[in-house]
Amino acid sequence: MITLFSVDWYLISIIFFIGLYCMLVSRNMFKQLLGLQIMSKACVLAIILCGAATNNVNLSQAIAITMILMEVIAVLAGLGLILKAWKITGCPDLVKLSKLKG
Amino acid sequence: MTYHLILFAVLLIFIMASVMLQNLLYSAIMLALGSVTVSLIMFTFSAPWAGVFELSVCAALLPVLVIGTIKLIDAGGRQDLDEGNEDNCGSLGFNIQPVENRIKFRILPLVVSLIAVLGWIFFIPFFEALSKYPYMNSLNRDLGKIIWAGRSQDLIAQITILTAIAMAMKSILHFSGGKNKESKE
Repeated sequence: MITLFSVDWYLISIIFFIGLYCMLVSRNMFKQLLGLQIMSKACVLAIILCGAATNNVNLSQAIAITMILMEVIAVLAGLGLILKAWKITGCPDLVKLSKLKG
Repeated sequence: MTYHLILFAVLLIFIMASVMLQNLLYSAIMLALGSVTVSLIMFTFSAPWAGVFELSVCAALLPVLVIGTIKLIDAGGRQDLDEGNEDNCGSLGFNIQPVENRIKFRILPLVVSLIAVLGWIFFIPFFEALSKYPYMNSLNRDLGKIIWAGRSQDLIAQITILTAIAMAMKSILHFSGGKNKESKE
């Protein structure tokens, strides 16, 4: 008999893999940020799931709120870096960043 | 249980759509819809505060910022096109993004189904073993006590990080407009 806990963890690991795949294959910086957000959502869901499984939902909510805040900060910094890279290279392309001089 | 699994299936569909779609605007909208689904899943886990936070921040604030940045870059791309600089990006206009092979994104359902089959064989026994661990049942305090009394040092660290990121954004987005004006004069 497979428990709901295992099925949830299984689905969360698939969501994490989709974000990882997006970050691995894409050259677009926006897609990289999107993959980061997807992985972060999978981690937040995993934290909430652990709290629900151990009857510690309030502690897991507090950690999840902190993690959502960190996600927002990381995405904002990433958007700033994308804007700066676009000002320099003219395109949000990761490969073009390796051609910078100076 | 059925409602719960349906929400997870909807979340998978939204997230795969956000990765596979070529138009960045549609990708951001799909990710926002995925955030709404995540918040609904949090409600089913009886975690309403985290769900509301996810709904208000990840489903509302972040897509606005991402779409604003995409439109800003799109406007710059159109300006480049008007000035004749066509070699900056692959596809100009609304889909301003590098030229890349789309097959990597189109085979995503195949890759995910392969991983799902392998995960059902290898991951599920591992997760079943994890679910048999003893649980801590007596630590479920109020959320307010946990945040304000138990994690006050975390709050100070968070405020510090917010200040640091404000400084970092100021330094990242610092454009030397004044110097250029002086050099032009």
